[in-house]
Amino acid sequence: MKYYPFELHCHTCHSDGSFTPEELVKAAKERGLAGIALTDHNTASGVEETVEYGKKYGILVIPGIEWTTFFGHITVLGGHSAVNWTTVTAENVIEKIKQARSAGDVAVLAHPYRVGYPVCTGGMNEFPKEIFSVLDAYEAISEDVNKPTNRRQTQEYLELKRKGYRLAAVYGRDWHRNFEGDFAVTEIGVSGALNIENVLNAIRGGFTRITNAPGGKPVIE
Amino acid sequence: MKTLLKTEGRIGKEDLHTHIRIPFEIPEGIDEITVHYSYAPKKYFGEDAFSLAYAAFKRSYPSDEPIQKAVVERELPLNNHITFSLEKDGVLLGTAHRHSPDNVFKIAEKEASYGFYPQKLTPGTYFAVLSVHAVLETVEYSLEVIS
Repeated sequence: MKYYPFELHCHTCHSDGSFTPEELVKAAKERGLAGIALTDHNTASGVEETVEYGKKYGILVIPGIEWTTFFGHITVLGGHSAVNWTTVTAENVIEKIKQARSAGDVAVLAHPYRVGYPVCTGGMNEFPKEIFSVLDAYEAISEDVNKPTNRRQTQEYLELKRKGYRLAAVYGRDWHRNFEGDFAVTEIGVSGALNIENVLNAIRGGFTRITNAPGGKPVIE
Repeated sequence: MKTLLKTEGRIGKEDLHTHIRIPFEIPEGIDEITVHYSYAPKKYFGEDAFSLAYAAFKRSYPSDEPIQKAVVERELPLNNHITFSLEKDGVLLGTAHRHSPDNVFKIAEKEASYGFYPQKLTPGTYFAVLSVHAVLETVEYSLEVIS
């Protein structure tokens, strides 16, 4: 098994990011990443182009989407499912996640304690607690690592692990554009070739760790 | 040029966190549609804006973390935020998750605006979906689809 640095939460101009697909891939290369997941808000229309630029610059691009619902945000990685995000509610979210996972995707709870409505609608997780039983991973740290909300996320993640939930710890930069700050990465322990399915399997298996930089010091294992 | 949909309306606080579906027909022989979608106001300057934002910080921050006034003020003014999606037969044909309140989208078989999937516009009933992510006061919208 070899660990590769990834950014699993990225946006482009296909939603509200400033990056074009090419700029995002180049930024990932400059950051020293092996791969990214493209998780534009409520659309996967940028996937094809980003995958092509990934091939050009040597960055593995995992197709994805961020269900930006009114009750919480979930990044869905793999590009296998086609759930209509407007149908996701607090009542049926578990069924929708199961649907995405049975199609072959991985579901990650994004920035669970982001400041929510009306500052960022759905930014804070308000889904029922049962959601933790059907997710593959949890953003234990998001955006700038020094944000106070990360203390709550890390604490909740560790509590969930203690309770026996099988959740991989991932970092999510929620990368819309470049600006100054302290950002981490998710390192993913991949068995075999570095490809989309092996990365998804590694997340499902919990082979992830959050480090302070590509190849850097582990923050959460 | 043919107008397929032209409508205006109001979205109020009672519509918060709902999806408003507005049907329209695309007949045979349409290769491309252009959507003009706008709403106003975008910014919310109500007297309760600071306390609403502060309450959101309070819900997210650790209980022992002081909430600096300046940090909350950076989030002001608050925004109304209503996104546009296109849907047919329950399948989403794209979403424009943008913060701008004035938008023009084009959708055709070979090309589409960011957020939408290029596609052949088969005849039938389509839905303009307005997703009310944030509405802090009554908002007026205008929507026009032309071919």
